[in-house]
Formats: sequence, structure tokens, C-alpha cells
Amino acid sequence: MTRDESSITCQAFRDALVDAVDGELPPTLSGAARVHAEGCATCAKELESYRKTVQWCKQADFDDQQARPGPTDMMVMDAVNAARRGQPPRARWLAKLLWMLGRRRS
Amino acid sequence: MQLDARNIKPEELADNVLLPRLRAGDDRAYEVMVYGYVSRLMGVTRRFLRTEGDACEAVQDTFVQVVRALPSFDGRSAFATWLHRVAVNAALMRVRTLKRRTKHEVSIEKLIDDPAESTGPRAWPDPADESQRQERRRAVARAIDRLPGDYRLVVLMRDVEGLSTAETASSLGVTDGVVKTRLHRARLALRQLLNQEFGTELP
Repeated sequence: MTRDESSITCQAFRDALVDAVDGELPPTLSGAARVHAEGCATCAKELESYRKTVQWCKQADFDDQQARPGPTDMMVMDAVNAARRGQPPRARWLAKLLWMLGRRRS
Repeated sequence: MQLDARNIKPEELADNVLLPRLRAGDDRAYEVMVYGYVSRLMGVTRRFLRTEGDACEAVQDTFVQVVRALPSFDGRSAFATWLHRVAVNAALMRVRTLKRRTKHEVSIEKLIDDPAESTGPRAWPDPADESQRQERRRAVARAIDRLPGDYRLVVLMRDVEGLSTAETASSLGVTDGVVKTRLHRARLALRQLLNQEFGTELP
């Protein structure tokens, strides 16, 4: 075992977690961290729970709403049409008012 | 009749159909683009911006930028990927413009070091049950929303949107080291928040 692989402390291991889980540890430190985790149950558990936290973050569900017609769609379409004409978009309050008036008539 | 996403045929959204029509100035193509992608992009911007109005402004900004940049879009990435990237940057621009903290924003140190008592003896959702897995995913999203602004942004960009450290740093105007520090502390805080919600440690 090289000096590097035997010398990492628990604090250094915890500080390296963010790079370890993202695969961004330099090779020498990666080896030292691996050896440390094999010999320290506390740090091994810390690594596992940290890794699970990251996995769950990647699966987070922000409850994106399904498509539905509404003022947002119309206001965005309005802004796109203005951009195509080289004009600034209408003020949001005006676009929303026009949408509401259009709904009342239909 | 006003177009909505339900009237759009899937083939109208295919890049090889939509892009030439957009470049040709086809009005329907622009409607297809907006109504076909607006919900998806609202979902992206809502993660970064705390109000519906701000998220809508960011989506407007996104489509306006896309319309202006369309002549120079080289098609090397998929159109949806490009829209997504523009939306993330538009949301970040809005965040910077707003520059406000939410009224009840808790410090990251408190979330990491001084967690509240568990909110109850709820069991961790059973991973074999799809509806419980869904509940778990929503719980994670709620926990991310509780993070202080700067920390929430790095988690959204790195772990949710999958941007690299360098891309995140560039977008936020900070160094790689700052991104990593914030990300690490945010993840520690999220672990505590999730442990609080479910009363036991992550399984």
C-alpha cells in the first residue's frame, strides 16, 4: 500500500464525498478514499447514505403539470408573435386581460 | 380555433418537420412550437422560480430568444435539448434579476446542524410500490424547495438538470470550488430534511 492510500483521515474522507459520488476525485485520492471506506464502517455508511441522497435528488418529481390551454400559453404565443415582428411583447397584465375577455366571448 | 397541445400531431413536433417550417416562417409551425413545448418548459422554470408569474416570464424569454436565435441554430443537438438549455438560462437570469430571499428562508447551517424533530413516524415509501415511489420523488422535490436560494440552484442544476460543475459555475458566475461547496452542503441538508420527514434514516 502506498503512503497516499493509507493516509486519508475521516474528515478528509467526508470533505471528498461530493467529488467521490460525482466521479471527480483525482486518482490518488480516489484510491485513498476507497481504502479508507473499506476500513472505516462509519465512513462507509456515510458514503452510502450520501450516495442515496444524490440518487434520490436525480429522481425528484416537481409535479410538472400536463398541457392545458390557459393564459400562459396565450401570453407566450403573443410574445413570440411580437418577436417575429421585431416588437417587444405586450405587458403581461394586458395579455392576460385579453385572454380573459376572449374566454368570456366564447 | 385556438390551438392547444392536444391538437398537435406528434409528427409535427419532429425536428426534421418543425425546424424547416419555422425557418420558412410558417405560422402554424410557431404555434406548434409554443403549444407543444410550453408545458414542459414551464415545469423547468417553475423549479427555479418560486411563482407562476416569474416562471411564465422566463418561458416567454425562452421562446423570444429561440425565435431570434433560430437562424443560427445548427441542429447539432435536438431542438428540445436546445429549448431546455435556453429555459434553464432564462430562469437563472430571472433569479438574478429578482435577487430576493423568501421570507422564511432557513440558513443552510441550521438545516445541516440543527435539524428539527422528525415530523412523524411515517415509514419510508415501499420502493416496490409505484405510488409510494412517486410519493418519495415528490418528497425529495419538496425538500429541495426548502433549501436556501443559492443552494437550491446548485442542486437543481447539478443533480436535477444534470449540468456539469463547470457549466453550473459558468451559469452562476462563481468558481467550480464554490459550486462544489454549495452542492455538498445542500446534499447534507437534504439528507437531514428527508430523515426528518420520514423519521428514520434513508434506507
